[in-house]
Amino acid sequence: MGKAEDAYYRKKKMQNKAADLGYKIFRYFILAGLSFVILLPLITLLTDCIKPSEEVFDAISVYLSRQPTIRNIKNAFVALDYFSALLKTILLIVPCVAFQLFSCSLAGYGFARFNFPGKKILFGVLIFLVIIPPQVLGMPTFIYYRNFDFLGIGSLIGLFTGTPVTVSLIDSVWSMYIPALLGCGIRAALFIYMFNQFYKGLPKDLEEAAYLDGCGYIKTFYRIILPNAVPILVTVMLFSLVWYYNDTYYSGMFLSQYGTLSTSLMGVPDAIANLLSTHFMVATNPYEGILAQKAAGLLFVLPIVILYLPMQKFFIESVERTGIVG
Amino acid sequence: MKRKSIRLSAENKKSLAGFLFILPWLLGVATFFIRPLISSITYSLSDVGLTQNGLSITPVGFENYIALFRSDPDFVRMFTETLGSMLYRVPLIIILGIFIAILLNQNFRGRLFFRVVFFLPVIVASGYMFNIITGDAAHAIMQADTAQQSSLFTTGAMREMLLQFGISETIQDTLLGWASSIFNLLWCSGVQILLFLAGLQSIPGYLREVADMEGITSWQYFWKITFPMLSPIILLNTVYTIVDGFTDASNVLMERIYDLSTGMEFSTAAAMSWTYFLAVLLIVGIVYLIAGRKVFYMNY
Repeated sequence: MGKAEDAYYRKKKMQNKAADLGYKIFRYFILAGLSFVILLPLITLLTDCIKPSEEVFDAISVYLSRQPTIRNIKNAFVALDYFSALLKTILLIVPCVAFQLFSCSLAGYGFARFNFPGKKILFGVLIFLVIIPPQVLGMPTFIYYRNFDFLGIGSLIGLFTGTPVTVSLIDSVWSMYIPALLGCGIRAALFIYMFNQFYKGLPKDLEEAAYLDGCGYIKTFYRIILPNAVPILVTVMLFSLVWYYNDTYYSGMFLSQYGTLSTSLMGVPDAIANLLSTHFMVATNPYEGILAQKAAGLLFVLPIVILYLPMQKFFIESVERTGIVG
Repeated sequence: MKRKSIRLSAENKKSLAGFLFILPWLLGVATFFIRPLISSITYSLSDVGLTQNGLSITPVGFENYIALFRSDPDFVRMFTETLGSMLYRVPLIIILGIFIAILLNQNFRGRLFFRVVFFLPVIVASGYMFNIITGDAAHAIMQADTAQQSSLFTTGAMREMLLQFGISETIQDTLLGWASSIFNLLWCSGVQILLFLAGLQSIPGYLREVADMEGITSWQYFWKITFPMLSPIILLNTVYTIVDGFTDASNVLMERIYDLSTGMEFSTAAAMSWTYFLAVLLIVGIVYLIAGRKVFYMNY
């Protein structure tokens, strides 16, 4: 190797190194900046919830409060009725998520592996369901739930007895359980689609071997397929959990009296105003309610964030391995 | 023992099993989709009133739809506003999503932390929580003196200080506008980043090796390999973003529909949501028609 050539390569190497370093700095700069934009509101949420309402207009205590207080958090606890609401929410969403996993994984498998007449049309219906906004069907569903009559069975009985049997599902947890069990819960169509994509990507040999060994279809499904579908099950579970937890549309419409965390979050300022005026006979500073609502928001996201942090590695990896990607 | 036989061929047996698997969903579709769908269409085509025995429905044809465009003061404005904002939001979210996913896919110190941060919005911000975070909830309560209220990216004191430094109000406003749009976009693109990241992971490693051997630059690598390989997910994400943006309960039209239906104006609400939904369907269809052909599927 000639001397000139040597120098050339050394120079090139130096340049590459400099470019690399520059790129690394640039990457951190961008990521840190964008992360800041994401985290800032959460940080303000944190600092606001220990700020007494007198300090809202105080230009000096924007982030650090002069006299940190836990009053807002206390208020939020009372206004949300936190532990009982949390318990209610858990009782509502855990069965929903379980039902949804059950029905969606079954339907996804049915679409992925079997041929039956009308499959194409039904798959079209599924795609339609993914796209349709829940608001289009919300209000007729509400009216239907007030006189719920599953598959016309009630009216069939009515033919013989004279009065059709209907039940009102409004303010009953079954208004959430039944759709989840039948694959029509929150964003269920999307989940079925995800399951379908995932199962399509699994090798067929597994099932064929099972069939040869005399395993039936259902047994094959839960003995062979489900253990291989853990990544997608975890992903769907987490999404489903998050969407049920955050939902205000369905629970606000069907369960307005039930009092889940997400619906009571909206009422915090009013609740605080009520509380203060009835118990302490003081004209309320409206910021008391706003700050309490922020504290309530923090209390609201806390359980799900606690759940997410240990799961996130598994979750992100599982998404990478699932077939959502097509 | 004699077996009573309705013998099914293996084929028929299999299709029966398929039906069995989707049976719960089929029942669900029959009860929770077909029925509300039919009544929703009926409402939109008739005049619905509340009586003591329930609803009274008088068919009026397309009057509700015509009224939306002719006599509703807000609908057309809201409609075009929502469609218009989609036009720039979707491409921006897609570009931002690809960009961040590529960065997060590289190997560096602290990657885990950044991944957690970028997916945090998926966990935290849906529904009402987003309003609390952005301060909209507080804004709604305190409409009177918003000028004094410190918003997310600015405080009065900060403004004063920047003014002292000679940064004029207009520049400040532009910068703040950018900051809050970036904020809005980032908080809506968690799922998209996740999907793009998954897509990047599925690009086989040997392509990188081949590309390195051929002496390709990173820029060329992106356009010749990453971009085509990601194209199915770009399509998926585009559709997801459109649908997500349209069905988001916080957009003006959705709020309007919700208000109308809680205010017992069923027929207007139904007509509005159908017009809206058909527009979304049309847009998604156009996207599929245009982009569907260009998508590259790798056959292994």
